[in-house]
Amino acid sequence: MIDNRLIYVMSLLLFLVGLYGVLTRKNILKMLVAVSIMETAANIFLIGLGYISNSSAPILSESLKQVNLLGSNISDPLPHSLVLTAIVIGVGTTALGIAIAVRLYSHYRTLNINKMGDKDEL
Amino acid sequence: MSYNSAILLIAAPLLMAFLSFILGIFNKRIPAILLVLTLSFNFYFSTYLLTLVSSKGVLVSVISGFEPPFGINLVLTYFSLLLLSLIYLIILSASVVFVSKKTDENTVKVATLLFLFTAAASGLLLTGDIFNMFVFFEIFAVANISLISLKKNKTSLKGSFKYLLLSSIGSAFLLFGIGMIYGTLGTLNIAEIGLRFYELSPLTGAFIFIMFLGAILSETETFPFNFWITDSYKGARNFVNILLGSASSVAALYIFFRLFFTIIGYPINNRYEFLISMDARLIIALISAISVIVSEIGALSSKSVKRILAFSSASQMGMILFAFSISDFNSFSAALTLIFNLSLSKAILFLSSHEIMKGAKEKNIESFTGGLGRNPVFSALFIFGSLSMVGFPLTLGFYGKISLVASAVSASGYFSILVFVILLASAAELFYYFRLMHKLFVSEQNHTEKTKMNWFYAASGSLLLAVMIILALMPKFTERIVSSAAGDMMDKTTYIERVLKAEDLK
Amino acid sequence: MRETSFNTGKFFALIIVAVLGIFMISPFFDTGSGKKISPRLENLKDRVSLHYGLKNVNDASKNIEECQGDYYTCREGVKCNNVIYKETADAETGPANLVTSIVLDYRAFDTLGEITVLFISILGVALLMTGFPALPVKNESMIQSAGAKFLVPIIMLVGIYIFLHGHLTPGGGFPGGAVIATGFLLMFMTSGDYNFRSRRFKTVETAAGTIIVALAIAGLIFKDSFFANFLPNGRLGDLFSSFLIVIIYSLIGIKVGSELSVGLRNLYTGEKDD
Repeated sequence: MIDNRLIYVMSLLLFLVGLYGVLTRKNILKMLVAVSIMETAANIFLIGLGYISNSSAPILSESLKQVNLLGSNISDPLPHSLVLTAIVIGVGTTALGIAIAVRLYSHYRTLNINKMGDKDEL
Repeated sequence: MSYNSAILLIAAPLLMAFLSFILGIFNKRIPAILLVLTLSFNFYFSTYLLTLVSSKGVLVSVISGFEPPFGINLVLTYFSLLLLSLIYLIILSASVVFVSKKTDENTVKVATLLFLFTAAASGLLLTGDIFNMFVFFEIFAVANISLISLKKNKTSLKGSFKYLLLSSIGSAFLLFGIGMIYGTLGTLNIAEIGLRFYELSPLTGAFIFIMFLGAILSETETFPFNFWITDSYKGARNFVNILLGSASSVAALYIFFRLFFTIIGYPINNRYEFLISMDARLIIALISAISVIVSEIGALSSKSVKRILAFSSASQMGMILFAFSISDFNSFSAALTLIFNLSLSKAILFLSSHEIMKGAKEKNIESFTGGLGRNPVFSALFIFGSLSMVGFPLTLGFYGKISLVASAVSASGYFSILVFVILLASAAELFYYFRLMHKLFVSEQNHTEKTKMNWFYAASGSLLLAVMIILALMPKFTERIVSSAAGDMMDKTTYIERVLKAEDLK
Repeated sequence: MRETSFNTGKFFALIIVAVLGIFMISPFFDTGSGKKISPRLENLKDRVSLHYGLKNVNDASKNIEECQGDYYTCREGVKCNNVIYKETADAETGPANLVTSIVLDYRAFDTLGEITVLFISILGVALLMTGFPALPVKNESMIQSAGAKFLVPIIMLVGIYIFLHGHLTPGGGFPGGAVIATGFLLMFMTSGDYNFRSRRFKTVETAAGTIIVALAIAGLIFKDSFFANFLPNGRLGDLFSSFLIVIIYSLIGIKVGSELSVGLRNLYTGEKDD
């Protein structure tokens, strides 16, 4: 019997950890990791929204013949599908970010974003 | 009769995106030609739907055969279709510029990117489901990132990385907001959320408001989330600048409206009031005013032409957000006029400045010197664009700014104070655009060789200019479409009624 | 510059995060009036997903139409024909896996967008990695490469199993495709000179994408709605059921598998059109 708020608060804390990471890290790969943490936190939050205690996964099988009329014997399937989409989107942006990081490294020979500031003419 | 075939606005570019990859194996020109054809089809179809909507009101198109609020649906409103036609026009002009380029190994891929950009813009503007909006928001952001990074030099890579970072953070914020909405209201349909948002407790509403702000402010180029624009605009290729400065801005402003007005706000006495405790309109107004000031300072202190144009774009976006925040009928009309002005003239400015500066080593203000002698056609285009941008009388910008100031003055206390910021910003704009225009007339060299005319650029620029002149010289016509769209924006009840098929919600 | 003990940037970041954190956590302990997030979810009564679970969305939306105006009371009065595993035939949607029924039927349009995001980001990777020099090849030990050759077919088979059973068990096109791509990644990591022609993979990938959109448009033609299910659904829980969903999930599996493989290859050896 877990209070759902535990999941929400934990995911928010994870989100804040990610935000702090993005704001303070200088290494662009670490920034990407921090962004991934934020996305994961959002996904955990979504999953937590669908949690019903003592319910089973939303898959009909021999052990779960039918969903009862109030839907209290399955966890909410909609957040699961949203998270599936969100994960794939996260993978896509992370791949793109890594490709940009590879290119930036080949230009500057460093991953530190502070050392990438050339004399920026206005 | 159902209007489910409206999905073709999204499906056609998507299908072409996949097909063009295969067809591109045989000939690299085919995708580019298909791009222009598809965009023409989309433009035609959206204007056809626009006429349909203007006679029948809001139409709903169902996907997967499941009625809202259960399935995903598209909502065709006058406002969204008007902006969509505008976006198609801009992508069309940008793709004409793209087609004129020599083919290389990347041509097919870039054409595919443009197809997907079109599909994402259509999806963003038409969808009636908030999670679906998030998905298209991401496609749109990834398309923008890939387009910015095309040049693969230092500036463009840095710009695209910053954009990627901000948009990923924004998407995490948006996901939290969507999760909160689903957790409390149990639905993802925009109309149903809009109908039931008042049920939420004030703290929950404020949470969603802040999450939405975090999601959208980087796209609307609002300070302090606009540090990506300088590198992105400077490093991007010319047609990408047109897309970023015009099409992306319009789409971002549209999402801003949907998130903050259709979902959170509710029209009371010909004015939108937010359904959360604090005065959210004032927060938006303050943010946009600060953004306008900072962007104008940035533009005044810049030497690079693309940077100036980028900052000017950000300040215009701030003005439009300010117009949104006043949120009555007149200010929405002003916002729409400004959106038209921003997108059309910004596209013209990017296009013509690229041609004027062709061959110059440093692409700063000095390279404009003697532009009129070297390149009269594009200099004239640039002058027209900047006159409209600063709001010279008899241009689109003039009408927009005048009605914005009028509606701000007639609004209550704070807004009429903040309008001075807008006036100051206009003065600053006047200064730096006239500085650029002045350079065009100055000629230092005695021999002015004419640069070779690029007919594709000229065609694309004159297409946009023609639309701008028609809109500026036919105020009756412009007023009619703008007031129809503004009426559509004010009429949240019809939107909800039509989507949820409930006849008398009051 | 030397690191000082007091870092202003980190200090301000901490303040921003703390303020945002207090603000974000407060709605979960809200005691004010109005609807707020419930500490414990008991059932799905107030959510649209209840009808996804019962597979009676069409009945539910008809019910809403019947009692116009009085919108909220309708949902509870929906007549419930909830489906039974291995008994119900030709339900509204076929899959026994309710998540799959949402992903590929009720909210199939989201999935199309998802495919597009992956497609466009791998395209962006290809554009970025064009002309990037290949990394130097390292020859791994014989045990690793022999082991990989033994493992790769099994990995591929598992991937195919996952996407073919997406309508019955957890999994589906995206995990299945990712597993297939893992097989290729293993080949890259263990046999140094391994490479494949990316053009073939891309052709397969884009052909799969084209067929998915074409199937969706076929729904528009036959059933007057994009992505409508126009094939029979069969008995709930059978392997040969919900045919359209199996077809689309297999296409997604093929697409994602080839896409991710090409993306990994691009990050590994740079993009070349061969």
